[in-house]
Amino acid sequence: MMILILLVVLVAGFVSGRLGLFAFLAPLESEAVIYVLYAMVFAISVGIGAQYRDGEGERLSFKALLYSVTTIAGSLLAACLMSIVLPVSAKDALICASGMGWYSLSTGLVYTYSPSLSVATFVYCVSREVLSIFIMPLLIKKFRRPEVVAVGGTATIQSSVACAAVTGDNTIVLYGLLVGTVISMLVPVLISFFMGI
Amino acid sequence: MKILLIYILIMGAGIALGYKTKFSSKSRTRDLFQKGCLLIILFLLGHQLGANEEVANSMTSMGLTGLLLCLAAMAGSFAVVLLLRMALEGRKSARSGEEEQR
Repeated sequence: MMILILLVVLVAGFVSGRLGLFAFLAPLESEAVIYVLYAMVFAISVGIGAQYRDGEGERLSFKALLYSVTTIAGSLLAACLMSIVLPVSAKDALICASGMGWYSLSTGLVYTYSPSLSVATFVYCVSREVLSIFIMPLLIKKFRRPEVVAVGGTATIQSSVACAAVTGDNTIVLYGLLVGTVISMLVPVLISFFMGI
Repeated sequence: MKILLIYILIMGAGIALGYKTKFSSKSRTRDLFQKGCLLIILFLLGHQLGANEEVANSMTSMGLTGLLLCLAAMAGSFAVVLLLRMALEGRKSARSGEEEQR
């Protein structure tokens, strides 16, 4: 439902831009997006800190960290290879893939680099979130937690809940949350890094 | 790099504040604030994209590019982690929830 609302708001903004409505926003938009992003990242971080204070954050094991980093490496490698057949450079494909499913943050960050690439990034991230909700519960029947959770990128929480509903194994939710958190922390770092190359 | 440093600082400050103070980990106010921020960002992005002729013209091709990159990235992450997991744990270890990750 939330994804539907987000899509409606995005489309409403797009249509208003096409029709020339709210033209007074134009000179403020780029800076406003950045400052709202800062506020949002701060609020998210406060929540993460409070979770760890309350003992709700899963403890990070070396293997989970390794699988998180490998998840990112797999996405970047595949995106780099796909750039051969797509109308984007390897650098642009890497920037887009660095979003890892976190559409709210990555779309705004990529917009400062290239508005048209931010469209691809938004579609990439939303598709990853939506598809993983359907694909992960199917994969968990045949495969194990690390590779199944890798499919979702940062968007593992909702899809892990779907997996738990299928298998009855709730530990995948905590594992998904942990891996998703590690990957999420690296998203702004990766996007900024590839934009700066 | 400047933006990256700012994000790291903001995240560090936020995590420290959340850890040291008594903010709830499940605050409805914070949840609403985040959702509100997200809606503002998406509306502004949509407005910027709609007002930009170049972006509007590339909407179909860039949307398809994003979808294909997504499918490739999901397959890439799955395959690489599967290979690593098989190398580390072998094929015979127990399925999903029974691993030592717990």
